[in-house]
Amino acid sequence: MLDGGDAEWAWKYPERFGPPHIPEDNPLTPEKIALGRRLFFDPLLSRNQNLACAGCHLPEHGFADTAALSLGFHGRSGERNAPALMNLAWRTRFNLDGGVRSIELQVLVPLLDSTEMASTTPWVIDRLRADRDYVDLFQKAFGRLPDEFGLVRALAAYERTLIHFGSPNDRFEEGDSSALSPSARRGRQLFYQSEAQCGSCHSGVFLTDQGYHRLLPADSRDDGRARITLDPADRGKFHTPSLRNVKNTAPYFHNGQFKTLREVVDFYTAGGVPLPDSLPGDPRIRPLPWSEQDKEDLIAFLEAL
Amino acid sequence: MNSRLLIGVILSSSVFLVASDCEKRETPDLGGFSVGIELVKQGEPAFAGEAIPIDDATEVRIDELRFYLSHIRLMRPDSSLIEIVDYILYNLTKSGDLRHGFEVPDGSYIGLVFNLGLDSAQNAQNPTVFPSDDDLSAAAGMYWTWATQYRFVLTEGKSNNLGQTGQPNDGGFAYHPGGNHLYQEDLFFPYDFNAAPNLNTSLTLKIDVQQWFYGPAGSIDVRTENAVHDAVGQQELALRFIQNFAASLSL
Repeated sequence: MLDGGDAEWAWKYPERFGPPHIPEDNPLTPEKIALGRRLFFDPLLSRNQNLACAGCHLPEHGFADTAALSLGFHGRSGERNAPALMNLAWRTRFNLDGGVRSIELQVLVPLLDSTEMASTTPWVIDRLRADRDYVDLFQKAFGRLPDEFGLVRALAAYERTLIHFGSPNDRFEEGDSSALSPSARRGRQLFYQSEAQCGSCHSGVFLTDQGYHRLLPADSRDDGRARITLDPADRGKFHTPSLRNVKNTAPYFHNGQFKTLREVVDFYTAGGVPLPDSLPGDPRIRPLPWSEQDKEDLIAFLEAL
Repeated sequence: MNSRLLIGVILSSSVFLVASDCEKRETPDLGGFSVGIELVKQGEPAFAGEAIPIDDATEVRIDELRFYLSHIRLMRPDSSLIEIVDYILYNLTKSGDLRHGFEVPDGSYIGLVFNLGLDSAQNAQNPTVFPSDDDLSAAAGMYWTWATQYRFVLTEGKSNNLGQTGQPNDGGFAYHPGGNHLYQEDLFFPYDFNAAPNLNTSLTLKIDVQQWFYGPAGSIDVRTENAVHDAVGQQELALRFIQNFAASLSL
């Protein structure tokens, strides 16, 4: 996992990722990334000044949270598991319902959400302007005093530098046949075989189809994709997460209900859970007659992603 | 309000009178015009933070009320329209946003026309490109981060039986309708006036709170239909509320 704030920054990513999406009004610069990194780890952004972005996006866990539902302002929790932050520069929609169209706008979501940082931009800007270091950093990065414009762009710039590649499976796909253990290689076959079809949704170099699927019963507290489309048929659908670095990003699913990869594999091999005809699940999920060894092999592969 | 606008100037009412005199010396063909807001209940003054009866059994207390008007226009006697501002936010709990002043070309007018909410282009704006004092900045508290669009109306408060608001058993309400499908266009308010360099015209838009709950789009039970966040199951209620809100406005 690369973290662009660690050193003098330069793009480093595999060619097969393709070009990243960088907004014209926010080209990446080392100054901007360094500022964004500092902001990301600074609890000053939150209303009580006790919760940083990194408080729920833990670097040692793939910038995800170990809690099913993170606790925000006054111990409030939302309805969704904090997603891992990686390879965001290759995405064009954000949040688990896909409602946000840029990282610059996404960073406002936790900042202003009453169950997360519960802050306001005027509060944050006032605090930043009262800090001489931040005034200097904003001047270097943007040539202006701290403001909303620079705040979201610096955070977005930093988040674009969180890049995951070079996993055992990446090396395997690049021709190093020894990069995967025999068990993981068997798991890889199971992952992509027509019976399981894991790879039909967790597809491509980022191991996601960037689509929205319903795997669990729709929850009245969270409409999922339907919150954005306003189409009742989209209730309970959520973005397919990338499986990169998945061994470090537990718990799993949109509400964090599965604590381990084993629980996830058991869920899928059991054929998921019954869903009503009115809001059916994905027909590709059906019981699989897998042995214990099959499950262990698949987990070995997942841990190599 | 867009700072690049042709003639829009936002000022509190007291400042407006002073500033407009200065402006007139440079632009003698412009007159002063302002539009303020006030709460009423069946024609009688009502106030934020105080109990307002809405029927024989129920009262509400409004703690927050903000809403966008867009494409505010004045109608000439020949029915032609002159736009005076493209968007503006009224905020009942912020004194500087209770009345907004504009400068308008001299002449006769017969009415005020505006839209409630933001048009689709305005609604798709990026709040982070606006200075923090702009009504489309996230600092205005109207941006819906998760949907990357704006709430058109935001009102929150309490409800209870008559005479009991403020008790621990208060119910809460939060109506936050937004979305392009809720845009209410071409609301027309007849009003005859002349604009001239030394003449200031002040209109006050009255907001009848009772109409929110007993308006022409249908009644709303504040005890049970007390939240609109434009969720998929709240579309009908969101539309009913914003149509009633539009109907609650009068001069």
